[in-house]
Amino acid sequence: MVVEVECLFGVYMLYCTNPKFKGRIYIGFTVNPERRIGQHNAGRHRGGAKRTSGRGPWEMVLIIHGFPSDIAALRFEWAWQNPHSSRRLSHITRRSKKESSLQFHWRVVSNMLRVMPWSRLPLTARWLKQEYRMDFEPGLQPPLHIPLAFGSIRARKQKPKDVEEEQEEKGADICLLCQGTVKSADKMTCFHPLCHMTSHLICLAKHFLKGEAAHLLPVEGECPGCRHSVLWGSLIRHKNGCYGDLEEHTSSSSQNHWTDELQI
Amino acid sequence: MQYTCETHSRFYLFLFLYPLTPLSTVAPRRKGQQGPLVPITPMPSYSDMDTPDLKNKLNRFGVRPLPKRQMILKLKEIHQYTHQVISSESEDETPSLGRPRAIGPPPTMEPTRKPVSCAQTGGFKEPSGRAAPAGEEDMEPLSASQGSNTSSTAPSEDSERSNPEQCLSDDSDTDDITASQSASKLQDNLIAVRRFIQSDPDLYGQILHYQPLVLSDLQARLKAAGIRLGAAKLLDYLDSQCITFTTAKYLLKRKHKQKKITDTPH
Repeated sequence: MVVEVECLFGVYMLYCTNPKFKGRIYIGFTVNPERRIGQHNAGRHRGGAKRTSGRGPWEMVLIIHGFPSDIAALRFEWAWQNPHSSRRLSHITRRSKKESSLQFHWRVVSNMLRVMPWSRLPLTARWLKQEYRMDFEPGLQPPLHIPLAFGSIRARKQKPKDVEEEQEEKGADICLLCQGTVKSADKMTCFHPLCHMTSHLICLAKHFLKGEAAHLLPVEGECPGCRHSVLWGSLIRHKNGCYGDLEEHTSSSSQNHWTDELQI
Repeated sequence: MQYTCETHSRFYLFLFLYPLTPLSTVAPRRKGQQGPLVPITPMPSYSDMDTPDLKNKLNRFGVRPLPKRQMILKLKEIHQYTHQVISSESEDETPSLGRPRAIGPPPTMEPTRKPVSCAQTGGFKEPSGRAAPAGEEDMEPLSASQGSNTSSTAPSEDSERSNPEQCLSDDSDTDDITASQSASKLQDNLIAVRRFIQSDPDLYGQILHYQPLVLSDLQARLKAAGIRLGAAKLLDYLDSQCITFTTAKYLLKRKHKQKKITDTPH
């Protein structure tokens, strides 16, 4: 089953299956994983990186996606490639002799997902190839809103907005939280079917941040309309016209753990 | 999309072997002249030429077909190079042209990365693009622009973007004030920053949309509001708030590229 996502910004890990190169790893950034792996395996003259070109068949085994912008993803990519130079990852020890490159990079990324600024982003860690998958170490569990997913992912073009939708709606929208009128630039709606919640961007953020007074950017919260727990990142994606991968997410306050939802 | 070293060195080899450009009227070489003398003829209107013509013209220099916009730029570049009064051709690749990953106007790849103004501290570690850290046999630090995203793969973005991420040496904040005093001062400043952000709906809206903030802009605005916060502490705060930031250079480059893409007809 392939998940299709618009506005995909992903940081991926490649594994070299050529025994001559002993499990080499490559980290990169892409907005189109399927195209990218083809480019890597085709060599540098077809768009692949110089470092991977001619170095044995590569498999894209893991991708971290859900970054809200390319800059955020590129910063993550750099830090993953250079954990020992990164300000946020100084606690990560060097690779030990018995640690394979794959294990080391998995350890690094497990750490990264627990650390600011990435720990509050609406990310997903997705193993693209089952045979390589690893679980998070007990001490390196990611934040509860970051799921571990399995399966392929595909970038999807955004559908152009209907002209009608772009025009201001005839009836002015009212914010459910403050009862003020809402302009389309600030308008937040819930993506659950049948939920007609409308609110101001800032009103909803404040609603979600109850209980997290120190923060400016919410991670998740309960929709005031349908009471479903939703990720802030999903709401923003929905607002920007990205409709793929907007799963309902169980809130951190509930008893469920993301591992319950995995199908093996 | 990719512009390889090979085609480029072929181009220079071509110039070396055939210094007279096929595009202009051939002028006889003066004896004793250091380099080839080429009359300055007006540049053909590459922008109005069809793609097959551009392809053919590039092929004469051993350059493979590129997207039309890039072909036009490359031909103009070649024309400039071959129509200089003083011969400045060299066999070596010049840094501004030779980058394999250059797309469109070649990004300036500074050999020593210019540090962001806020990060000019003593123990500043430059990301050396080539040296692998000891014990890390397979993870050579690379410039991060490996992406297939055509609009943002400039190598220079790495220098801008990675700088804030680098380990910085500590701000020497040791004045006469005690540690607890400086800590509470810092707290006050952070609260002030937070209030500043919340008081500006546009700025706060940008953050809530996960849109990156331009660091220099934010610093200037904070300064104007009278909030004194060191760059390193500001970055720490932005990280703790999960706010993405960027240096203006990267954004300008991207705007420039996007503008070019939308302007030139394809």
